[in-house]
Amino acid sequence: MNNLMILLLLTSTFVVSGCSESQESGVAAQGNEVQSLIDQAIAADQLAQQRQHAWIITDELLQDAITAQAANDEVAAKAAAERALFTANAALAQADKEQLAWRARVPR
Amino acid sequence: MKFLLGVLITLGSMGYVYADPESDREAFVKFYAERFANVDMQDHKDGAYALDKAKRAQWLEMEEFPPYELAVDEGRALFSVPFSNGESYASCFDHQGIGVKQQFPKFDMASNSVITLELAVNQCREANNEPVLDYLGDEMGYITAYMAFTSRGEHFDIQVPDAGLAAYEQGKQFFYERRGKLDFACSSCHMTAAGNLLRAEVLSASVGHATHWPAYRFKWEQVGGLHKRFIECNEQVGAVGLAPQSEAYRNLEYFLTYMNNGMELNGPASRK
Ligand code: HEC
Repeated sequence: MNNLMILLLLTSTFVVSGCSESQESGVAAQGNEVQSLIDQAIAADQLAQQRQHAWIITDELLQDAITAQAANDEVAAKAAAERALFTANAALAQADKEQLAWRARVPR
Repeated sequence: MKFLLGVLITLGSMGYVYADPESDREAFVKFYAERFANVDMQDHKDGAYALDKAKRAQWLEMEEFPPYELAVDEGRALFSVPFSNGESYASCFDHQGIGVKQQFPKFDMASNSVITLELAVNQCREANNEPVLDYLGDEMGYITAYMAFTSRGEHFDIQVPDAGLAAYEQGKQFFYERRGKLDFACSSCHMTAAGNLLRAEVLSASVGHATHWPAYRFKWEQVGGLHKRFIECNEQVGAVGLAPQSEAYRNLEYFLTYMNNGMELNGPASRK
């Protein structure tokens, strides 16, 4: 049943995208993907800022991604956006971990 | 069972929240007493210059012509200029604002927040319909340099009333939390690594971190406040620095200054 579902899904995707994916729509799809990565990174970075745990590098990578995107360099934009999302999430993970970890450093 | 566990965890964390600042401070001081058995505790008010003989000699030479002297003079003049309504800074502080820096930061019940000297200066201006000063600007440096100068020789005696415990605890957490891409806490450098070199700099002890502000730094080419230093220390580990006088930094200053209780005030100071 699973295979059948996948087959159906694939077929319908092809139908929707009209089978012959032109180069432009490919770029557009990638552009959407980059934009979504940038949006996710900005959202995560803002959360990290609210928790006073943001990292400087996230901002730098986001700038890189946005600049590359404006220059239509989708490959560079995607790479930078992925890294920005990674560092923003790492900052959030740090904030989570430190919520308890700091106590062990208090001298007694 | 789950409920009981929840209650236990809550109680446990409440116990932490209401830890006693005075026992925190005693353990903090003991840490440095053991780490630097040959350094008089009061000497930590000179920061890294208490820990490195050669750097201290250089610094003492520098202090013969104190680079903050001009700021103190400017501050003295600004302090006595009346506001346009005829009032002055003196009207906003105890003892006309002379020799009061050791009272700051203090917890204000009305606003339920920590009031630093810089914030009090701006609140004074606002109350007298004067525009507020830039926290990183020269004029704030001058006023606070003068006020610090009149408090030399006083000792910190910061109070944490019950209502101020949450702010104190937040400042404490900020101090011990790792931040930035480099994953360092204030305590990583200024406790664990205190006395060691970071690049060419000797890492100072936090037990003297609040005594001498504002400070003239050659790197800054101006007299700047403690929060400017916080920003720099955050940024050097890759963390985004916060706004000067943000709640988090005021709470950090509250904790840090409480840890400096009993230490002599010696501001303004000069630093490389
Ligand atoms: C990566 C190491 C590092 C970390 C982490 C760090 N600092 Fe610093 N800090 C330094 C260095 C280096 C200096 C300059 C040398 C000195 O005075 O210790 C300094 C100086 C200072 C000073 C000035 C000391 C003086 O005598 O004027 C203060 C105050 C200070 N740090 C507070 C903090 C606080 C609060 C934090 C946490 C928010 C922090 N630092 C985190 C490295 C660090």
